[in-house]
Amino acid sequence: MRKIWAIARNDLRIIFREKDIWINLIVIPVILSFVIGYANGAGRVASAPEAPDVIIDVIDGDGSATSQEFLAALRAANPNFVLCPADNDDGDRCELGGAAFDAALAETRLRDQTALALLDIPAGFGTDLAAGQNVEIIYRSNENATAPSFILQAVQVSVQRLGASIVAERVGTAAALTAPGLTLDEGEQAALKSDIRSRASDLLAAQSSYVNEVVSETAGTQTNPGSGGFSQSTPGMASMYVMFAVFPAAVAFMTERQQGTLQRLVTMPITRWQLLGGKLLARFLLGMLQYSIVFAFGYLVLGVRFGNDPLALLLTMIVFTLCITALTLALATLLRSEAQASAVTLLLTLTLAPLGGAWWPLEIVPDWMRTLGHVSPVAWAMDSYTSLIFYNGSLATVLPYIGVLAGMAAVCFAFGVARFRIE
Amino acid sequence: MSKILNIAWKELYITYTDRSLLLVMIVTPLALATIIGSAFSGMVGGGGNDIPVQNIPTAIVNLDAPTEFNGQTFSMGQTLVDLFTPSGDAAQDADNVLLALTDAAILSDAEAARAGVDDGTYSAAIIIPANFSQSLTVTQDNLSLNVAPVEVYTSRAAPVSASIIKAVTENIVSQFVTGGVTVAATIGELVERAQEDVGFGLQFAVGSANWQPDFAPAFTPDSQPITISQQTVSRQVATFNPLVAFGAAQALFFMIFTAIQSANSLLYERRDGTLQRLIASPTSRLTILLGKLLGALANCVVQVALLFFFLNIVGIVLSGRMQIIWGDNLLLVAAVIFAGSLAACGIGAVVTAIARTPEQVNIVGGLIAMFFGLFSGAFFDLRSLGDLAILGRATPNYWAVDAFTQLSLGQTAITTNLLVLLVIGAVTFVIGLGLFERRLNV
Repeated sequence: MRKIWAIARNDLRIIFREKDIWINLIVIPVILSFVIGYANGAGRVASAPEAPDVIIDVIDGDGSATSQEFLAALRAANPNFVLCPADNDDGDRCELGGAAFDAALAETRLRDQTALALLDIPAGFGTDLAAGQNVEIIYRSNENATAPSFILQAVQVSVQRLGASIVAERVGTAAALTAPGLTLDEGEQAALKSDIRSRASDLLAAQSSYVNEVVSETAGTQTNPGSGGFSQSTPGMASMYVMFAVFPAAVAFMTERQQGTLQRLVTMPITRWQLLGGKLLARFLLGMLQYSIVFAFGYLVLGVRFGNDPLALLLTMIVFTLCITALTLALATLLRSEAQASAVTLLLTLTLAPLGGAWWPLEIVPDWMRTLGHVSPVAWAMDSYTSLIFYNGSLATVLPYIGVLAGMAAVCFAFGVARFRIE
Repeated sequence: MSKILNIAWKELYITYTDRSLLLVMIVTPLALATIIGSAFSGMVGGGGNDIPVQNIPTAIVNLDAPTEFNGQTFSMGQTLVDLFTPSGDAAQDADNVLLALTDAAILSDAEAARAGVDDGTYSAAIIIPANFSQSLTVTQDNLSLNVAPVEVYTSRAAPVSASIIKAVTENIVSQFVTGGVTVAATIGELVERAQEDVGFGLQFAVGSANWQPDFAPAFTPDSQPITISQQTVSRQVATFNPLVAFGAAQALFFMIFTAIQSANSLLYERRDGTLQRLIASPTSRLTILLGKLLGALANCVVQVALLFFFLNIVGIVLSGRMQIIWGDNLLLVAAVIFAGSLAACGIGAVVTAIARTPEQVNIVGGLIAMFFGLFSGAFFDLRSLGDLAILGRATPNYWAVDAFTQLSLGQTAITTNLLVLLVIGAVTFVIGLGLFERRLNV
């Protein structure tokens, strides 16, 4: 054991002599954890709906009472919406800078993201609806195409609210005219329509919400409600960077073989097992250090909570790192040169990580990709972290994931050890 | 000139005959773009543009008690349950989006459903309150509505599934409310008229027992009179092709590495002594530098062109139809590839000229490439960064990716993009060249 430790310590000394090691261990994974967590919803959940002044440009080609009714419903849907140019004030909330608002300017503002969305209400909107015809509103946006849009949802709600009063007017009037004893001339029918719609609008305005969303308060989200995205990105980026930390051992094996240092080592009074053990231990420890750094950042800075079972968390970290270390050994027996090893390990890291759900939750990918993703050890590790962080999981619940990772590690170790040659 | 071309050709030859390098430059970004593209699109399933979430495990608990109106029994809660869990032929309907979207299970206990979400068995639970039908129904004594909200219990572990279930439930309940409001407004109006007009009131009171008004259309989504046409910034019907957006971003991301490493080869050559040998030959320093930088430019152009070609093949294979995913104007696509490559090479030249050692270039270059990649949408849709997305404009990648996306949609208004890229390229290229020329004391 002393010899194994001596080899590992020597390798770690060499690794930490490299100038860029801390950038790869700390700077890049920490930045990625933050930015990807933010993109995965941490920033959006925390700020977007409450963000001040969400500018939405409106080309109201109709200018009727009905289009105004729709815009009023939209304002009511989110008080932070600033419908421009109508809502502009002395402080230039619309950021028009004194320019006259027209379709061309609206186009430019949408492109340069001054406005997040552009609504185009066609001329004849009100009269067509009054005449019993259906109409279309054009919604153009600059929002994220891969996530549900809070502006679009608000527009849909407003359309439904306005649409509901019009449906009430149409269906209700038709039904009322069949009521026994009700005989109305054209003018009275028009008044009835208007009265029913007005009554419907009042009834709709009195409703607060149709759906009450209650978010589960399980571990990992109790302390920081906005940390959902970070709770995904922190274990994801940490797992990916464990691969970046451990896989280079395959390159190091090639380098040492080429330089003859491996051959020299076996002439020393150490066994082949001690040699391999020492080399792999160094990378395993580096992988665990990588995990610790990113998890510490996640806990202390991003507010991520890792559940209530530290033993299960530690076991997942250990077994995943072990699995990647074993995979590295197996790879080292298949590769022939440093350049090849560098290229293959980069390819593997950058495919296994997103496939396994390190970049985004696997809930958003198609079923076949979710199944395929579980070829990657990252997927099993992420399953375990998700269970612990979001679902209050315990060692018993994550044991199957740890078991699969341990199995993968055992197969890779057996393959690697059987094939590994010093020469 | 021929010497410059010779040096550039040598750079190109060395790069594209190195299989390991090709693995990094072509295979890795191609694999990555395909994975990201597949993850964020429904194109594999046949051309959809939404997030391909299907079979969301959902628990439904119906606590609703049926209510009576005009002699008929209404159970809106059960109607809602039936929409999520249809029976008979409806359960086999391949066109039923709701059926494909969810994998719903009916539970009788709300706490068990919530516990199922807590432990990850379900992504969301829909809990219909006990007075749901009653809250949507008017009586002669009570002509007002006060809709009892349906509870959607969700977990932050599955935010996308949760928001989908919430939106779907909201849509369905909204339709019920439309129906309820129609009934309430109509009956309310008639009752008021009956109170004001005694003659009508008497006839209405006598005949209303047999009156069967048809309110059914108000409860169906077909009656909705306003539709929303979703379009992109470029006035196209919203067609998000992730292979274009992420493919272009990945190509540019890996191209920045190529540009920096190509320029860095000068420092490696100086360390290995081959640069000194080259300078000792009857070749001016400017010729050597121009040859090297031209080689870097050629490397980048060829890399992106190859990636675009292979990404197009991936697009054809995944969609099952012949198409050019980059749009029809290939000349402009080529122009953006050139301008983007020029900008990347210029930046690579400046970084290499400022750094003292090849290792420094690797460190600084890696950070720059990562910043450019993150803020140009190489890993996620840039717009998901909200206000932070503005940082993307500081990167050449953003302008190139934006141009490629526009071209793919048939838009050709990319003059600003081209200008920005050419200016970045020209300025950094000249600065890099000048700095190198001054520092090349070998």
